[in-house]
Amino acid sequence: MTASPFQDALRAPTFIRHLFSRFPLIAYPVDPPPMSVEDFQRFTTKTAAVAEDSIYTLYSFTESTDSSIASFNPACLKWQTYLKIRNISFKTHPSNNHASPSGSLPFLTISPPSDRISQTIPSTKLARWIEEQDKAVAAVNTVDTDGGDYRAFLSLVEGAIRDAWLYALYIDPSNLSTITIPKYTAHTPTWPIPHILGSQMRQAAIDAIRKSTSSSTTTLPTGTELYAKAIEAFAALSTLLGDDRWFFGANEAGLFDAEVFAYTHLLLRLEVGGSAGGDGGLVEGLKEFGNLVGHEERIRRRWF
Amino acid sequence: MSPIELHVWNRAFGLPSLDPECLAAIAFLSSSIPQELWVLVESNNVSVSPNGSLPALKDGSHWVGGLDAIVSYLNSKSSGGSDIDRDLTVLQKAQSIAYRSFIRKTCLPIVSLSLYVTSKNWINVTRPLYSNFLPFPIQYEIPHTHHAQAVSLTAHLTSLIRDIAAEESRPLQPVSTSFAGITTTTDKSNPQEKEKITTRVRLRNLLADFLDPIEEKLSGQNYFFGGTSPTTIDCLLVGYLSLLLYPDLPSAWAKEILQQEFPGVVAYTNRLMSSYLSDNIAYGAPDETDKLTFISWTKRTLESSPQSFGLTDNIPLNQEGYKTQSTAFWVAVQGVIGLAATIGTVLAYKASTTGGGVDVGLKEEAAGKEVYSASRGSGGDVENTGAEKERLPVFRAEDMLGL
Amino acid sequence: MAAGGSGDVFDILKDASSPDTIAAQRAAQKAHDEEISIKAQRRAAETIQGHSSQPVYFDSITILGAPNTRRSFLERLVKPALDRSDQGDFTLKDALRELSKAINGLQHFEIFNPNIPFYLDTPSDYNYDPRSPNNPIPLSAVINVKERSRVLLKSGTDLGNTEGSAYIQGSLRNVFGGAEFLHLSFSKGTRTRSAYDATFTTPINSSPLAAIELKGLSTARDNSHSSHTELSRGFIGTVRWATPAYKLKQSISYEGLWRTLTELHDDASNSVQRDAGDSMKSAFTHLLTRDTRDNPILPSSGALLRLRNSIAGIGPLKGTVAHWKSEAETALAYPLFKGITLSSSVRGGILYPLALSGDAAPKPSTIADRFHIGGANDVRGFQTGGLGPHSGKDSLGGDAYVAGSLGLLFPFPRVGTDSGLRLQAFINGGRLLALERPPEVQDMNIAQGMKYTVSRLLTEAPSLAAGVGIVYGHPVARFEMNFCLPIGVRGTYGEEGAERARKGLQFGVGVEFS
Repeated sequence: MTASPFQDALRAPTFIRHLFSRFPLIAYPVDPPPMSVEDFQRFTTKTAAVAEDSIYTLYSFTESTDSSIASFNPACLKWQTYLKIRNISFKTHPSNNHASPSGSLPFLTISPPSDRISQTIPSTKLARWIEEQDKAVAAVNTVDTDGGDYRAFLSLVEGAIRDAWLYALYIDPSNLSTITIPKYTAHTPTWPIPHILGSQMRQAAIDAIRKSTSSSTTTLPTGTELYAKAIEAFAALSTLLGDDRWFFGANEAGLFDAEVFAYTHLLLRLEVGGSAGGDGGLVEGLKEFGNLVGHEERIRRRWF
Repeated sequence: MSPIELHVWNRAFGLPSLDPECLAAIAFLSSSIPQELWVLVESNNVSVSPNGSLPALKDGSHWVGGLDAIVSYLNSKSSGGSDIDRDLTVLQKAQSIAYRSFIRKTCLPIVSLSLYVTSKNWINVTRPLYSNFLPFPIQYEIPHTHHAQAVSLTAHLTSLIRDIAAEESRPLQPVSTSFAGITTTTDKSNPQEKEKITTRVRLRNLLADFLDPIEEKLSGQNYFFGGTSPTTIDCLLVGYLSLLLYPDLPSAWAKEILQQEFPGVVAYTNRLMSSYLSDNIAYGAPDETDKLTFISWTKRTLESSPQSFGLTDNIPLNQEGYKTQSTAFWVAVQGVIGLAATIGTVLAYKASTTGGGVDVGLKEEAAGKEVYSASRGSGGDVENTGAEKERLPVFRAEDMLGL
Repeated sequence: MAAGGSGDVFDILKDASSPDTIAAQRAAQKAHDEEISIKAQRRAAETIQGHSSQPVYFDSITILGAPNTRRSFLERLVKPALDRSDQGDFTLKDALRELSKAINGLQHFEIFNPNIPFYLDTPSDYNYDPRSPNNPIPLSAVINVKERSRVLLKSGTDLGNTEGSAYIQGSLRNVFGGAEFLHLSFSKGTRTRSAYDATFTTPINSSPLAAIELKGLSTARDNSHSSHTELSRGFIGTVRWATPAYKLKQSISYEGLWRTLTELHDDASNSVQRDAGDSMKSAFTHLLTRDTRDNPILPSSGALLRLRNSIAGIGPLKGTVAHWKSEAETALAYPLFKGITLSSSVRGGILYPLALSGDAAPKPSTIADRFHIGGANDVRGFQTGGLGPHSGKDSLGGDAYVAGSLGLLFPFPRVGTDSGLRLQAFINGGRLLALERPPEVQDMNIAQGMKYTVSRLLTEAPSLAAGVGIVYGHPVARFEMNFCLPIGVRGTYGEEGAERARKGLQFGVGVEFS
């Protein structure tokens, strides 16, 4: 390849380059980086026992670094579950959306022990990354994720069920103050931060619902309508699952199972109260569908 | 017995309505109940609907809002007689629910992009349309609201919207003014043409994202779930697809791509449209109380203003909650006005009795002359005999002072 | 009227001064009587010097032209002069000194035009008694002030440390008539991407030496050297006071700041990702400064000492970070010969993690609290945050540092020392370390770790850079253009964790250089 005369003109004169290449005169060894929380705990409390020391870390909304403790956020729990289903050993790290390059959790980092540089994989690219791992279990779920039925039922989870979840956890005032705010602001419990973040989350949930339900209507749906839609969606999912172990008749759990589990597990296990609990609430509605409850239990017992 | 009224948005583009959900409702009624039992009313008045959106069904004095609610109301009222889904299996019914959600989620942004957000179409066709059927002051507000909704629905397509706009702003090429399909070999040295192709490919991918699963499901059948008659999902599909396929638009990418790439879907839409969205629908006039007038529109806007201004942004558990919210807002507004009036009155009263205003004025006048005088003994007049500048170099004390 | 004897101060004063009234005299000053007034001043000064030991007392001090200023506020300013005169043994010289002090106080608050004339006279009913010339003579003093406009709106550009910004500022002067200030400002800059703040300042007890400042702020700061943007919003309350006798300035402040590290770059390192998100800092800070330098921008003599201690998060302070942070800084400028100045500085600091109230053990420091050193006006020859532990291109910061510089400033050839232009040659360096565990010890506490870290800091060679350049000291900021070469750096270029040096030209703008 020949450099154009223009590039030649831009290059520094030879003597300058020679001079620069001689500096710095001395290179000392590199200093260690600051200690992480785990290093620090080992350092101060003498407990050398850290459960898993995997090179994979899933940054998610969680309270623990133990990957078998479920995240309290459906998007994070979905990927946490799917990574477990695909038999990839990882640890979780409590984090928040600010940490993610894409603006939302979860994301996975790979930090090989030999190297201080780590690689980051956002959730949008996680599925492909997992496919590329040869560690993944043999009995792979072979459901076509581009198929019509798959995408149609996925839109139910991401639409009706998510909207009802948002309503139950972020808009219902009792769940907002007893579950959502304490969990999401556990690291900054000082007044007034939880209140401000709480109202911001609530507003974001309202905006999300407005966006996902808007057709030509100016008015938002009511909570009861959202719950009814979600229960209708659960009914459809229950029919889809039928008596199978996994969705779409697969012989092994897959991404769709993780997707459904993320919501069913949290609704059944998070002690969601307020308007979502009680008779006619979202949780009671979900409990009507025995096969979905069984599906949740199957995944929970095996991986969490 | 008077026929059931179906209230919808106005006809447009050679279709009975400009709204996909309204079209779907029309298709549903056409296919499920005899023509003489219902009439179509172009009231354009969302305030008649219990959920604030059209389509809305009026049965005597009973109102039902929204397509899904209309379907289940009619099914239960006719004891299943009008249930066009009755022959479906349980799984097909579940699929029907899932596809309904899928269609709304993926196709509504495409329809919005085509009719409202693609600026050439919006300015030349869709926007002027509203003036045809809406009375004077409202004809500015309603299309504006619909446009704003469309923009927010297509927020994730920003870069595509920009590309379409860039493409439109260019002078038309004399040779290839219309889209020639992605297989066309174009001169690669023409960057404009190349960019145009990439925009087309991206639009095609957007449509394929929605239509590939649909086409796969149709696979040459007459109806979505096969069989000999349409089901609810067919009604919904024709509602959305016809708005992509039939309007004559200056930037007709949706129509072109559909016709070139998805002939099966086009044939399916044509078939359903001619049967269920045809001209032989009976129209009725809205009752006086259901008409969209400036007064009814203003009343509704005022009622929903706490929400639309984001003042009481909340989603209550039920419709009662919305009413309470609105009432609470207006009570609060009245309270604030009342409080302000009371304070104003009190202040005015105080001012008039104590003459405070006059007092202040005097003070200021006096203050202008002299504000402070710390006197010892009998203070005298100010004698301007000696004039010293403070700049006496000997006595400067700045060094001892100052932060 | 003042009656005069041949030896009367006031007679002479009267003769020496212009016979006009106040207004006329001011008009005359504005016009062309410069020369006369200078002569008059000189004569007046001579006269006063001649009679400086004449016993006097203040009969009254009158302040004119302050309609919007509180009486009690002015009273407190003038009271020292009256008190002093009441004590007796008060000469004309003392009187003028006291008045001058009071006027200096008035000037300091910046609520009046800086040019404050004053006039001295005897009360109208006073009759000089030539038989007892040593009786104190009563004086009536008139201080003629002019209030500056109360509302001030301005916009402009600012140069801070390594950044430029544009601002819009609205100020309300003398809000309650006691020299209180309210500033509202919004600025956008290269590093501080946006900043809103509202500051209320009030003097304590009308003293020009002590003030309270209350500030609410919201800023977004681009910390590209650590791949993130830091948002802070919160409140800072400061009490500041000065002790002129020792040239000391001190302040104690409380800050409650909600900080968010957000907008991480795609290639942000793990350490930055771990620290991203919200934190709450609740801290008390004591700052002590003794500055005897002749010009802080381009000093040629004098010394600076600054001690800064802050404590965050312990006990009732709450918050989510707890530490003790201590920094010391000294700078010295010494004139050598022919306008050549030697300047040197040494700085250092430690960040000691403490346990939050309610927590058993301390948590490690976060990137927002740690020290970051290096940069064009910090340690030259390194990039911003170029020293200390790194990961990828991110400066991770350290818990302890030392930095120092030694430089010579030469007058620019054929320009002389009066202009702000200088040539400089410098060598500077620093060392920044994260808290470390001593290698041989298995279980130990933080104190030991800090001791080990500090001992490494002090015993090992610092990273060094040297260079030559041009300096321009403008009253607003100092501009530097240097050619730098790193001498000793940790890690080679491209190595993971290496410090980031800068070879070649480096341009620096700022108000504080070390």
